[in-house]
Amino acid sequence: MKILVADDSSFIRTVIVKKLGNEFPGAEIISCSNGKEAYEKIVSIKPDIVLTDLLMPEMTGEELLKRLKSEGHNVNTIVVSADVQSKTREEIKALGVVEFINKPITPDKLEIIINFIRGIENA
Amino acid sequence: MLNEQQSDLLKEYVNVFTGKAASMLSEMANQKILLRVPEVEVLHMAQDGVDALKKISLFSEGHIVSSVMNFGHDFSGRALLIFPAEKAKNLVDACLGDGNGEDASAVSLEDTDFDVLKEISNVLLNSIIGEFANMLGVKLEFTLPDVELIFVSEFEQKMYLKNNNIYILMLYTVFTLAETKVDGVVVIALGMDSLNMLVAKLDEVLGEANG
Repeated sequence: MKILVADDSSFIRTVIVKKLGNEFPGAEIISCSNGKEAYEKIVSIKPDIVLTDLLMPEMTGEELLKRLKSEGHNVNTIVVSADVQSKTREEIKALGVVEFINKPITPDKLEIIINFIRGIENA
Repeated sequence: MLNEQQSDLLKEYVNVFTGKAASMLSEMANQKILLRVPEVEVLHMAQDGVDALKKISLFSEGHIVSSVMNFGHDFSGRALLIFPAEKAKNLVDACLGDGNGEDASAVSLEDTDFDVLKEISNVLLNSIIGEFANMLGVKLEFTLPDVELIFVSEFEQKMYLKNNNIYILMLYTVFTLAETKVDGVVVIALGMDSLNMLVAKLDEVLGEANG
């Protein structure tokens, strides 16, 4: 299983990658710091699951999701964002993400992410 | 600028919004956060100028960490989160779950510390401004937080928008971590149109409440 983590915060990337590495020792976990890099990795590596922030330099998470959708890339995507706006959540959900989780990342929220990944892995 | 009823209602909204932000900070630092009742004041920079900034009496001299996010479209402005530099390291350590609780020198802040501070600002300012957007029923877009170590004297220029004829909605709140007191201030600078939009919404809610 390949998991891509896209967040401009190295702090958040470290927390998520470390936790997922412990929970899924056989998985290949790749990280990047913006939507443009994420797009390139999705096309080249074809991860099974993508975790992405929204507010990132170069290309936002929303732009990434729109591009993936318009080009027909079907990737299981979990959004992890500080944006609490209802309209943002509605618009992002409409782009087909499997879950929208608000930051801050806590142990409980990491568990939600892990359970989603397990569900996708076992599907 | 605001009458008593409008000010009271705005303070109530800000209470709720900053309370949610404090809850998020509590989750990040894994500590209880004590929150003082925020002060809400609308100031006009051209009239009140630097005197307005003196109201932020927490920071009279020395370095501060300033985090700035611009937000825009229908409701636009600038949100700032500031706190004393010597406490910044304590805040980072609390969120990383380490450190000895002692104040650190501002110059000891490293790139990784700024990265954590940026993420803290991202979460807190997004929470407060995002709830304003929900209240007004608009969609906002944010810039990435710009976190800098600056002198108090440099802070004034951070509050100015492109158009200097602006009002400052000043939210002043002190948050206290269980171990270490960290004083933080949130300031929201709004343009005239955005302030009018906010006042109209307050009037709408007050009108419904008063039947």
